[in-house]
Order: sequence, then C-alpha cells, then structure tokens
Amino acid sequence: MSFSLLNINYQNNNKNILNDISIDFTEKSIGVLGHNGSGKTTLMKILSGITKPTSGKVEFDKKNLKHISDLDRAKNIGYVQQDREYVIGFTLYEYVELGTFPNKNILDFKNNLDSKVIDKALDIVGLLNRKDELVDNLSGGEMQILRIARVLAQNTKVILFDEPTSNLDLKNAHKVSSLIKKLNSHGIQTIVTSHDFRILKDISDFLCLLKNGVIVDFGKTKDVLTHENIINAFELLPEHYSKIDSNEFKDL
Amino acid sequence: MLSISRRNRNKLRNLSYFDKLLLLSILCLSFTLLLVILSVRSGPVSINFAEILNILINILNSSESTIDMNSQIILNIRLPRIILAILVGISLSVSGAIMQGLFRNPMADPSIIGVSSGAAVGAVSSIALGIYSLSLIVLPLMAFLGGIIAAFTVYFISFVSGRNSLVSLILGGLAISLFANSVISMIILASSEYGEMSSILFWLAGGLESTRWDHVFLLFPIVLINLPILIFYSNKLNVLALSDDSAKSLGLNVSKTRLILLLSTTALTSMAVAVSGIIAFVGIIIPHIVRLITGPDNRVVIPISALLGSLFLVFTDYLARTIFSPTEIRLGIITSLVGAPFFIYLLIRQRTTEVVQ
Repeated sequence: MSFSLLNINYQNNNKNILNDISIDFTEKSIGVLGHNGSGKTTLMKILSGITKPTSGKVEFDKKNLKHISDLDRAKNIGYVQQDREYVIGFTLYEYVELGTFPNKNILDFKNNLDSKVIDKALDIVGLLNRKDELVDNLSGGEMQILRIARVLAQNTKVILFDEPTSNLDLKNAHKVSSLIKKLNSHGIQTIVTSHDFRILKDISDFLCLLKNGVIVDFGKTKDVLTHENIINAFELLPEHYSKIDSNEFKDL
Repeated sequence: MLSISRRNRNKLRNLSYFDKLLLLSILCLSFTLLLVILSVRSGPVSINFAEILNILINILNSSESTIDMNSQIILNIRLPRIILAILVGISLSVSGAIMQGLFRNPMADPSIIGVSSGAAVGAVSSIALGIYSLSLIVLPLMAFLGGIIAAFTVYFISFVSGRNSLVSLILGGLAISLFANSVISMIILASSEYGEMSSILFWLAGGLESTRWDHVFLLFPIVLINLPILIFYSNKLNVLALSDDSAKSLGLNVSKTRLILLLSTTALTSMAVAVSGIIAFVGIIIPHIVRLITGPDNRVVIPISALLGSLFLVFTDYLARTIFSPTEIRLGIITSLVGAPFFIYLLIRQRTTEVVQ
C-alpha cells in the first residue's frame, strides 16, 4: 500500500490551498504536521479520493486514484474525518455496521459475515461490551473512538485520520493515539494529521511538515521535529517559543 | 415496566434484518388482510361474507348487464377504494421514511416540507386552466411538476443555502405550504362555477370517497416502479445518515443518490396527491413507529413502513366511512387529527435531545 502524489495543486475561490505537492507515502506510520489552514484537511480529502485535485495526479498502489471506482476505493482507504456528525437513535453496533457498506453482500441475509467484522472492530476499540447501548449517550471522546471502529469495520489497508485528537481530553486523546499505534501493529497504514507536534511525536514514525500548502520537510519524525523546523513552520515568535519546554525535544 | 419493554425491544432489534423483515411483514400483512375483509363488508349497505366471495368468484363469468346492485358496490366502489388506500399508504409512508433520511431530519414528511402542497397546486391549476380534461394523465403530470418545484425549493433551502437544520427545513416547508395554499385559495375565489370550486376543495383535505378504478390504474404503476427502486436504495440511505464526506469515503455517490431519491419520492407523493388530495402526517407517523420497533436500518424501515402505512390507511379510511355512517369524514381530516399531536410530541422530544447534546 502506497500513495504517490505528483504535482498536486488545489485551488478554492482562486486561493491556493495546496501548492505543487509531490511526495510518496509508503511508510506504515506517517504524521502530517501543520498550522491551522496549512492544507492538512485538503490533503487528506485528496488522499481519500473524495476531493479531486485541481491539477496533478494521485496514485494508490501504482493505480491512478481517479480510475478506481468509488466502491473499490472505499474497500482500500478508510477516512476518519474531522467534522463530527450527530447521529442519534443508533446502537453502537448499528452505527459501526454503516462501515461495512462497501463490502456488503446483499445475499448475506443473516448478517453473519458482517456481525463478525463489526464485533471485531468494536472489540479492538474496547466498546464490544456496550454494543447494544445507544450512541446518543456517548461522550465526545467515546464517539470519536466509535467513529474509528466504524472505519475499522470498513476493513481497509489504509486509514486516514484528520485531527483525531483535537477536542478530546488528555485521557481520550491518549486512548486514540494508542489505538492508532495498535492499528499499525495490525499491519494497517495510518496517516494522521495534527497541529500538535506532541501528539504526532508519539504516534508517527515518519513526519511530513506542511506550511501554507507546501511540504517543507519529510523524514523520520525525530529528524523533522527540530526546534528550527517548528519555529519556521508555525511562524513562532520568540515570546511564543519561550513557552515551549525545550525538554520536549531532548528525548527525540 | 419501562426497562422490561426496552429489553424486549432490544431483543427484536438484535435480530438480523432478514428475520425482522420476515416477522414484521407477516404481522402487518395478516392484520391488513383482516381489515380489508372487514372493510369490504361494512358500509351503508352491509354485505355478508358469503355473498362477497360469490361476487368475487363470479367476476369472470358475469357480463356487464347481469351485475346486480351489491356487486356494483363491491366491485366498483369498495374494492377500488380499499386498493387505493393501500397504494396511497405505501406512497406516503415510504416517501416520509426516505425524506427523513435524505434530509437527515426526523421531522421531514411530504406534507410538512411542502411537496404535497406543491403537487396540489399543480393539480388545481390544471383544473382551473381547463387542461385536465385533455387527457387522464394531464392532472397527475401537473401535480408532479408542482411537487418537483416544491421539493427542489426545499432542497435548496436545506442544503445549498447554509446548514441543514431542523428549523430551516420546517420553516421552509411552512413557507411553501402557505404559499401553495394561498394560490389554491386564489384559484377557488376566481372560479365562478360551484362544481369546479368543490372539486378544488377536495385537494386541501384529501379523501378516497370518489375513488374510481382510473385512480388505481394511475397510482399503481408509479408504486410498482418506485417501490423497488427505493427498497434497493435503502442500504445507501443508511450511509446518508453520516456526513457527506463520510458517506463519500464509504464509496457512496452522494449527489446522485440524493437526486434519485428526491425524484422518486416526489413522483410517489405527487401521484398520491393527484388521486387522493393532501393526506397529511402519514409519512411522519408510520416511519417513526417502525423505527421505534426495529431500529434505524432502512433496509427494514422502508419495506415495513410500506406495509404498516397501507394497514394504517385502510384502517383510517374504514373509520372515515363508518364512524358517522352514512355520513363520511374526510380521510385527510382524520390523519391530521391524529398526526398533528404526534408531530408536536416529536418536536418537543427532538428539542430536548438537542438541548441535551
């Protein structure tokens, strides 16, 4: 599983969101770090295939993403998106079942195949014992974890996470990041965006640094996460970075 | 007590969708059959069961001239009326269930979002312009035109012009309904003939009392084409409960699915309005009851709503005919009397869950 981007541009209302991006994502665990508005979400939408770039080519497993059908794409690429929908009236099980849509077999009347996949997804995220509860009662953090279970039920080789830990408290953020690492160990490629280098430092082995729609650095996380890179990418002034504990860089 | 009923509900909810379908279809169909038998028997002229059977058996080997009074009543008045009740019930409740998923809004219903009123304006205009007598198909076609204009207006209000909220959809629907009703009132005031006036009034509060076989033949093909399409799309409708981006990432062509569902439900609603006038609230009552029992899986909700909707309309039409027999109450009035309080209850419940969120 690999993504290969060639001269990707994306414009919206005559504004350049992504500028001539060319990069290969072949590593198992990749983070995309950038300031708000740096183009992280647009990049993820283009990788997931739900947004078409203005120009340029995206290849997934050496095939042009444009020529892969919607359903085949959905069987390979999962996407935990940033916008949070409110779904009410579903049980946890019923909600996760939505993820089986691309693989649904209309002849499987008894849902035998599906229920195995759904139970496994709920088990991985640790919500199996609550599968008959209604999603209406979940907290924001639990809902985010359930959303990951839904994408797991999609059974894909790649999962894209857009700001998976923003809006979560420390405990739930930790749960989500250890979940993402667990997926890596199950052989799933993960690409995770964040504006917070502390999170990505934990999750990702490789890091891509994005600034104003341009990739400024890509490599092993510990090589990319330097003081200078962070200050440059986030345009920090001395009064900002004096507040960042320089110890945070020492253990890298 | 509550906890017991909740546990039982969960037991049914945990069945596979096929088992739910089988169980509930058998239940609905047997009740519908009972009601149909009861309904054929009763009316100002009561006809016993043996005679009904006799009439039905003799359809084939009796010529027009030998048909007596009772067979006239059964074959040309009661039977088409009951069959039309079934077809209208299917059309309205399935349209309601689809629209609730389509607009991601539990309060959507063809009468509430204004599609029924739009169709009524189309139908009434064809009468006022005098073009309805050109062909049997003119009035339904005009109804569809009116319905589709209303549907796309509401669609625009709810998706294009900003966020899709409960309030904007209901207010948009209200505006369209009020506009449509004033157009109809205007046409009534402008018409000089009493006969024309009273035939227009029919569309404001619908009913089945003037049903002929023609009406059945108009609605039947529309149901026959659209019901399988909508059942086929019910799995895709499930995914539309998620945000557009999530639905797309699951491989769904969101705009194409929406367009097909909108056209198909508008066709069903408009044709139902063309043959029976506005019968309000059926599309909101039935799917909500079904969801309460089965959960939100549309693969179950759509077909079972069709069955329960037809059961409901055969029942309410039976009431409309028999409560004050031989005087009839308009069917549309009964459904509104039941539906409006139910709608208000849902609205209050909806508000409380929104506040909790």
